[in-house]
Amino acid sequence: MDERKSDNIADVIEKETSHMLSAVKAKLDVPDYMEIEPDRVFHPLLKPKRIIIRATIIHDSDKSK
Amino acid sequence: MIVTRVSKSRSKSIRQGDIYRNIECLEYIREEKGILEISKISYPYVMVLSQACDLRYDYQNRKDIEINPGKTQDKHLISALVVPLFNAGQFIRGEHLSELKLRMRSDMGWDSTEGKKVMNNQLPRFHYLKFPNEVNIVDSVLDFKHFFTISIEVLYRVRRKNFVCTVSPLFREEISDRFAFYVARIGLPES
Repeated sequence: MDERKSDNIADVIEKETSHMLSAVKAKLDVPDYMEIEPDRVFHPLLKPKRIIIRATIIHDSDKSK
Repeated sequence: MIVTRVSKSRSKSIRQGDIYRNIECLEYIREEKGILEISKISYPYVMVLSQACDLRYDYQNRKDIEINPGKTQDKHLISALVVPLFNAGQFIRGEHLSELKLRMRSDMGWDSTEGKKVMNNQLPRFHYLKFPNEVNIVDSVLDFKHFFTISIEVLYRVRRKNFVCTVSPLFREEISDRFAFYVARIGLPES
């Protein structure tokens, strides 16, 4: 990826994050001078996610080997 | 826009209008050549929309059986109906199901006629929820095309940890009424 494109992506992420943090601040009535840690702003960023778990079945007889 | 009234006090029973976080919907379990695969969807927030009295009698029946094990389990529920809450900001951009690789419509803005109708609950498919400040949930949208059931026993098991708030009676009744109206609609053939 060329550097300019990478910078653009970084700008977009920063802009989006800052936009969301401002919305959260407004919602929670947090004054502007206070910082919100992005990792604490869990609810506005979450979306339904698919989780796939794969596991190997071990039979009792295999365990004893 | 009307702010939805809620209560953060948790009752002993599961109620219509309860909102829970991190609720999983099991998609499938399959086994092939000794490998077990489980697929589930985790929803950040869901609202219970099972019938209010059914939930109350289920709870009462379970209590009665603790005292009198000979009683029937006639009022027991196996599952509860829940509707996911989608972040309104993600919804209007059509991105709310992007993690499931689903692209939803993104041509509505909040300033458009349709967007305003969503916000004012004038489209039967959607219900817009604006929460009071004491509840840390952003504005959300229910899409009545999306719902699933969860085992009521699983819900009782996680309710202490995952309960967020419950929507006050008049407001939850309105949601339930709109949901019932939407799922009961009949599409007639055009020709």
